[in-house]
Amino acid sequence: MNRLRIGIATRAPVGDDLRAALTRLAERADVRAVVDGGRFDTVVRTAEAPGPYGERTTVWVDADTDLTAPAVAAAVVVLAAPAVAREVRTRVTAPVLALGPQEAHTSARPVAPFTRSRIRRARGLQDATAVARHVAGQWSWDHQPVDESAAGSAAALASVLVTDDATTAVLGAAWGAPVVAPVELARELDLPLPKERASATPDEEAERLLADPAALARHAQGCHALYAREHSPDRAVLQLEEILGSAGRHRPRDGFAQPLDLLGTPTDSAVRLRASGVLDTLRSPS
Amino acid sequence: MDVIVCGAQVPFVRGGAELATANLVRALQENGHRAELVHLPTAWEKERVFDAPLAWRMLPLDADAVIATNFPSYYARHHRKIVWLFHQHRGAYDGADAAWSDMGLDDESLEIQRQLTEWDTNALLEAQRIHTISDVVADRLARYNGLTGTTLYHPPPLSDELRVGEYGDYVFTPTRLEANKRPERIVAAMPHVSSGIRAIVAGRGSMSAELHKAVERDDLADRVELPGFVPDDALVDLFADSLGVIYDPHDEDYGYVTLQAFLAGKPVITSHDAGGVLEWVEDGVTGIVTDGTPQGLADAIDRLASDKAAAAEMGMEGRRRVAQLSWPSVVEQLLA
Repeated sequence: MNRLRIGIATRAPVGDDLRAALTRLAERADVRAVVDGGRFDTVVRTAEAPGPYGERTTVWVDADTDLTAPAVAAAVVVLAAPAVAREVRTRVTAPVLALGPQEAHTSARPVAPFTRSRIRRARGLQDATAVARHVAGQWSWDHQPVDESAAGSAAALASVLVTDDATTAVLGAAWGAPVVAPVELARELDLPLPKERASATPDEEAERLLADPAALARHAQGCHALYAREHSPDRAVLQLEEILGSAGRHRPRDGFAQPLDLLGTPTDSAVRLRASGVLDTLRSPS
Repeated sequence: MDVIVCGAQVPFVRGGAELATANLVRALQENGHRAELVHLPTAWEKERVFDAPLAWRMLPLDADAVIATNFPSYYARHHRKIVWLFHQHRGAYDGADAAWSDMGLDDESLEIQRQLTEWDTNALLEAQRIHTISDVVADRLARYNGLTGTTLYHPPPLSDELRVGEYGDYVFTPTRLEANKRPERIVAAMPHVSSGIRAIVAGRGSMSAELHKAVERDDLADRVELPGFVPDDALVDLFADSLGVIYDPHDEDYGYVTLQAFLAGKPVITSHDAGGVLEWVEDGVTGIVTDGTPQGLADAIDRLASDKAAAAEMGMEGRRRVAQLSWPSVVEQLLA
């Protein structure tokens, strides 16, 4: 597998958000300091320290960055923490990727509302609807208090997840749950806020969604799209790989791996084994 | 413009989707585009369900635009991908609990269903636009994937040949003889028909022997004809001189038979759960919507027989409603 080779040329001191972003990159790519030398697919810099002509620069921006700086204009990719990424996305020409201190839910897989219903039925749970709530620090499942350890199952299986907690909202979005939060929190996280929401409380909104399968599925899809766009380091690095690959320099990973990754295929999915088996039939014996 | 139309096909099986993709290519060519049909085989069973999507994913499709149609052709990648959705993998969605689907409630099936939904959603979201062939298909896309598709209707095959004839003494059904088309309902209805009207059920399929057996068992040889495959010119004649058309599939995606009946000026008898057929059949206006029971269907046949003028009026109203469908309009909207 060809991992991205990323050079780091950021000036000290490095803030917490940038440090977190670099950590996420280092977990998913070959990262080293530019001063150590080598060939890089891209180099991460801040806007105050533009790279040399010809370098494919990934520029880190924060809330105070001057977006008119030449380094931003010349960047191949702009990198920012989720809240900042949302702000700058319409103000710069380069693609903006969100990467930052958010908790990574690497085992989460989106489960659509109708599949949740079938899984609940398979598990002998009530299949029609099941409302998970995490409000004021207390979890409940259909109004029955449940332990904090049920959070993952609730995010994966509930018909709808009502919460006033940002971390839980992102967890739910990672699992493709229809997440309903108070309006202020929904705005802060950029969760879907349909116009029908108006002044409805989260519980009223949950009821409305449960009565409308298409609206529920649309809401769930919007929540997961938000997670993929702003809270998934895996997705951010895949996008970075794709952007750099389409620019013609970076050689994408061989064979089926990249298209499978871009579709969100789990590492243990049978189709990966089948694709790998097909490639094996074409390899010369060693 | 160079346009590639993408269609998936189970080898040796030809149905509505294959006719539609061929007609789309022809319409594109007649509108001045260079158009090619790219067909790949597909398999529906869960063990191989991801193979064909992955194959589509890897194809080099060099053209100005790509129009993807049925599952899994919309996995094709292109900077200008337009989806005109005929259907998804129904066995993994609305048909997941049907007897004919191999998607059970076991862990493997549930994970395949989950993953397919994620793949479908990602692949469809790449499209510049998503059109669907009917409201039924758009509704499924909304309910299962949370995506929006705009319905774009198209004319059925033989639309230029179909004509209005007499309102004769038989009701006509051209259909594949398969469980989802429910041809056995027509045979079951005929003993309840009191007006002497016959039924002609044309087509081939796995239920052929069963239907012949039912006709013999119920002594219906003089009431039900099962001629098997009928060539196009005979099909046009059978439409033209029928009293009406019975088309009663389960949750049909679109249903060419309905549109063909209307183009022949015939009312359509159907049931409340026929899917896309109900986008065209308005009860008492362009046909009769029944409860699907043998008695309900028989009553509808007798109603047409008792008032042929009313039958003709319903059929002609249907004809008016499909008159605006045209391939040039479809091409214009797909490439807008």
